[in-house]
Amino acid sequence: MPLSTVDPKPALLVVDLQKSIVGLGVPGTTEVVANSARLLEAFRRAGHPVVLINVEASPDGRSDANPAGGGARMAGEALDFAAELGQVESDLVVTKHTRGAFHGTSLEDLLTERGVTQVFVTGIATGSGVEETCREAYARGFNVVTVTDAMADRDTETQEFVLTRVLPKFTETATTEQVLAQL
Amino acid sequence: MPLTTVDPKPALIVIDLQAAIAPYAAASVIENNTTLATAFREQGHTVVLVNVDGGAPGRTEENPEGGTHKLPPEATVLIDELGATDSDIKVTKSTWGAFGSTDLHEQLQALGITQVFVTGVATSIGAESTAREAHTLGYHVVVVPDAMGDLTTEAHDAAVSLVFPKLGQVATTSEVVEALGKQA
Repeated sequence: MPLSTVDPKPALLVVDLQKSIVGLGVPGTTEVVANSARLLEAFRRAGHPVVLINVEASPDGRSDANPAGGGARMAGEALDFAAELGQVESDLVVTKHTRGAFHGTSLEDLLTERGVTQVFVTGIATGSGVEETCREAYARGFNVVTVTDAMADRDTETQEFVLTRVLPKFTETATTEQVLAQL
Repeated sequence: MPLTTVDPKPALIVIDLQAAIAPYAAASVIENNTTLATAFREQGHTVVLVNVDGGAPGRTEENPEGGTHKLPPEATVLIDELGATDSDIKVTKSTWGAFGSTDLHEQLQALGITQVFVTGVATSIGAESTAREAHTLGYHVVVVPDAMGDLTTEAHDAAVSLVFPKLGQVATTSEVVEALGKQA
């Protein structure tokens, strides 16, 4: 299903393409970084906001995957963005402490101050930071577009299921080429 | 992986078991919610009954024109089987998750709640978004799949196998009831 509309004020959110995550070897990382870089360039050229998002922590709650609880903490160079993104001074930077980029950060204010009504989301991992950021954006009233060839997950079942079954419920999905063509 | 701990201050959060939505849930799901709500109340623990009166406005592939699609008041009435009492917390949400569009977090914080047990419908929508939000807000999250239902088995199973183990502990209704009894 193609992207229906580009709002007058869109923004690009690039999730967790930081050195420590790009270096994990998630299948598809190279393409995700390259497509994100192409989108970043196009959004910058059009004068639209771009937000580079990195992560420094995860929540403390107990889970089956982490029965004792206690979240991860990251600092220093691990948070630096991949060089391929070509970060420039005018890029907005948001550091998040949970999976989603909105909770506990200034992201919503940064977007609403600029009149943004639609967010395009890319990054790693599809089922974690990307999906959570999209759910948060949708709940906050934004139109959300997910760029399917600019996101990856190490779990191939999650990647497939989230792209085909989950994201269509609360986003419009499009490829990098479709977004570049309509921008 | 079983439920490891019941915190001293847990709360049960029941999602969207209301007139327009509960019919999608199997009879056993309704029954398990009744069982859990009764067990929480008997221990003096907090029960939160959540209903929904519309959705987020964004355009999506399933809602291409966007818009909140408000529900008529009769569609939002909680089902009798929940046995709502005056001491239950009731919140009405207008998004998928129960925290984003309500003051539920403030109410739970005021009570010192540190752990939430999430049930209701739909597994992959209201229940999952609520569990995700609770995890993000720093609660310990327990999800109870046999007290949840979804429009498709596939969606239910994917949430249970791919999503919940990463953000919460997964338990059955009888495991939860047993753990609450031991805590008392």
